[in-house]
Amino acid sequence: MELARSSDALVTGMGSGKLFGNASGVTILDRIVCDGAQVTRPSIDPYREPIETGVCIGGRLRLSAPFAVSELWKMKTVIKRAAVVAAFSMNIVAYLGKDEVTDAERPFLPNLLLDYGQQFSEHAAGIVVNSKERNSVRVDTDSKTQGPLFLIRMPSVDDPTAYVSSALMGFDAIIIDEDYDGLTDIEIAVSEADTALRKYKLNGRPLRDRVSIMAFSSRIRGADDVFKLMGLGADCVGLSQAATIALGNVSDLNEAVFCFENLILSLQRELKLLAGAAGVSNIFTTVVGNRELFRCIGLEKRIMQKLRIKPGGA
Amino acid sequence: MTKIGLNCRLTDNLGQRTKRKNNSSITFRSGYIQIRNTTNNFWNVSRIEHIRHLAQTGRAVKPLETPLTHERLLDRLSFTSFNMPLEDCDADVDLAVSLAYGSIKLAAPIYFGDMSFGALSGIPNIALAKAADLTETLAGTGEGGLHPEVRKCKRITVQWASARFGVDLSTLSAGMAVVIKIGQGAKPGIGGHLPSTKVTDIISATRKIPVGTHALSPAPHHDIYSIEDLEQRIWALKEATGKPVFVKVGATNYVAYVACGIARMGADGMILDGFGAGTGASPLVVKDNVGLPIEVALPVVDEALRRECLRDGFSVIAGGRVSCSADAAKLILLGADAVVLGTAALIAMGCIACGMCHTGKCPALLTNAAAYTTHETLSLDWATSRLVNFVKGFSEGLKILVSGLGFKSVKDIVGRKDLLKFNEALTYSKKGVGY
Ligand code: SF4
Repeated sequence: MELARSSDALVTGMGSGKLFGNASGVTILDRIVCDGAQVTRPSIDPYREPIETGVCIGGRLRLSAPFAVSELWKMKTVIKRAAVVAAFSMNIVAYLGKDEVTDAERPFLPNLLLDYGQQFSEHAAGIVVNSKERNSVRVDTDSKTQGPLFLIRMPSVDDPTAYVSSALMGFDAIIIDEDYDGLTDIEIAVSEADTALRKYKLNGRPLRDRVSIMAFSSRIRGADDVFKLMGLGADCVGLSQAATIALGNVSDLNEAVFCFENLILSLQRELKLLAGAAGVSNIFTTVVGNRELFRCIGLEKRIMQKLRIKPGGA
Repeated sequence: MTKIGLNCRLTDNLGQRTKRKNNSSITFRSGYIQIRNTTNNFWNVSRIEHIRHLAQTGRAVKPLETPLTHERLLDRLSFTSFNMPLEDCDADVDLAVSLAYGSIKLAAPIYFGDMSFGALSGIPNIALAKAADLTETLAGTGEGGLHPEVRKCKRITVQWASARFGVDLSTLSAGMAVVIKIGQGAKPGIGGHLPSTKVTDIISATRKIPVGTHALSPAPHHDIYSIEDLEQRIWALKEATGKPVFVKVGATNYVAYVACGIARMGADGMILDGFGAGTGASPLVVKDNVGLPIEVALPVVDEALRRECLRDGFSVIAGGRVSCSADAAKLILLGADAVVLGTAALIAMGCIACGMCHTGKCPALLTNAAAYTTHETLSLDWATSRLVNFVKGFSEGLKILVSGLGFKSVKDIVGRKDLLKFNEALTYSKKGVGY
């Protein structure tokens, strides 16, 4: 990933080499293409016109871009620490898991997600309850207007009823994590959760309005995957492996922070390019759950139905 | 064969073989740089070798047996009935087509993709225009003004794109048609981009922009925000130049409606550019994710135009990864009047699909930064003759295919989707991901 060095979107010559073929490693996301706006719905010039990438999670956590850094506990210490700093400076979130918050990391709490029961969690951006420990946790749904968010981390599964019941329990956001013993592809789980939560009405309003969806997976490689997962219904997408790969062998903390910030900036720029091409000026309000902006190339009908994305040409 | 030999500038990415020669001018017998692999999955060695063969011999090679791989939907389409013509069918198949309500006649349904002077370094632009003249086809000249030598050629179209680089009335009237460029297949919704390293003195003069700045065309036309706006531009350009007007768009979700709009608003044709089409410089993330493959968009466009009774006389030129005559034949069956050869034409001129076009350091001297004086330039005669041969070989292949399908004229197979079948066997892999 050259993105970490340049802070700008990668530009290259000649046509795309991407084939929607059967090569190994081709994912569902690879078979989704984005729209380009033309004539009647003019595109927006991402180099000259403003495009809003900010998102709002759980009604009160505002981020400058729909990114989260997840699986920090799997990273090298220096990268982990850089992620925490960069999350704060770029105003995204980092999920620290069960790891201790060190003194040095304490100033960055407003951009950290911590597991339930950890020290300082009352000052963090959000408190994460892991679904396997759900029974031992009582969620206080009354303190909805301030304080840290309550999030529940669940594996990616086919059946969205579990997501619906979590939302009914009052969680502000659901983290669907493919690497948390997920049983199905993150694309399908996110889409099904989004669909089910939109269908379920509470006091006449869709349940989806009260709960955010975050998608975590180590398979997410870049802005394109983030953009597509947002189209399927995610409000925020977690990167882990991609960041580790991008930073490579960096050993100096300052350099790592610098690279991390560049990475986030370039991903944000790329997101803006995709949004601009599709004629979207605000990603959060226009892309999340907007499957019309996407088409599938060479996906099986069964999967297309779950994703609710039309085949190319339709 | 005419002059063979490509005075090649040595760059790092040519590999061992050229480095050893230590910066002297090298000449390969074929004129082509030898390659073992490419960085591009689609333009692989076998596709490149195929094109080179056509360009060297001017004869078709097994048009029915190409392409050799099955990655695209297009590759999985095959002809329902095909009888290999026994003898040379050159004489009795007519490839001539007429475009834009009969105002442009082509000897073969081939359009060289719109590549600008700036993206290409000058000689290739001239070679493309000359080859179009010699083969009676048509060459697009892209955005950004005309090279004086290109201006002398007849069979060119002039582009009116969002930045209006180098546009004036004499330029607009210089070709056989004007192309309003709304979008391109490599990056629908994103404007043209000529990187700063390639904006040299001569480009600065033709584009009328400062040397060494990025030439970033706006994504939308700032005076075309609706179909009605488009109509005004189409008619204004027609009035001003007296030439037919084409509209070039990328293949996107709603392209069928856009196509109907274009036809209804009085354009004479459209250039439909699909996923994977070439570009001089484009953000990777957009290139790899935005737009539909041509084989998906084209039949929908053709059908919509027919349903609205707008297809007669209106031309649809389809492009995006046309690599062999079989691709062309299939696209014509899917509803194209002519096909675009862009990257394929570059490959005929020696491109090795290295994807370095944006750097201005093209090892094949095609997309290098244009300058008044350079020591090494592509030989114009060589490039032109390669292109002419390529068109000949390509056309011969197309003739064989048309004849094998049982027709005498390529015009008769336009839109005959019934002559194609989809090979389901290659459709899905176990996980449901796949074709
Ligand atoms: S035109 Fe030149 S730089 Fe571009 S891919 Fe071909 S050989 Fe490489």
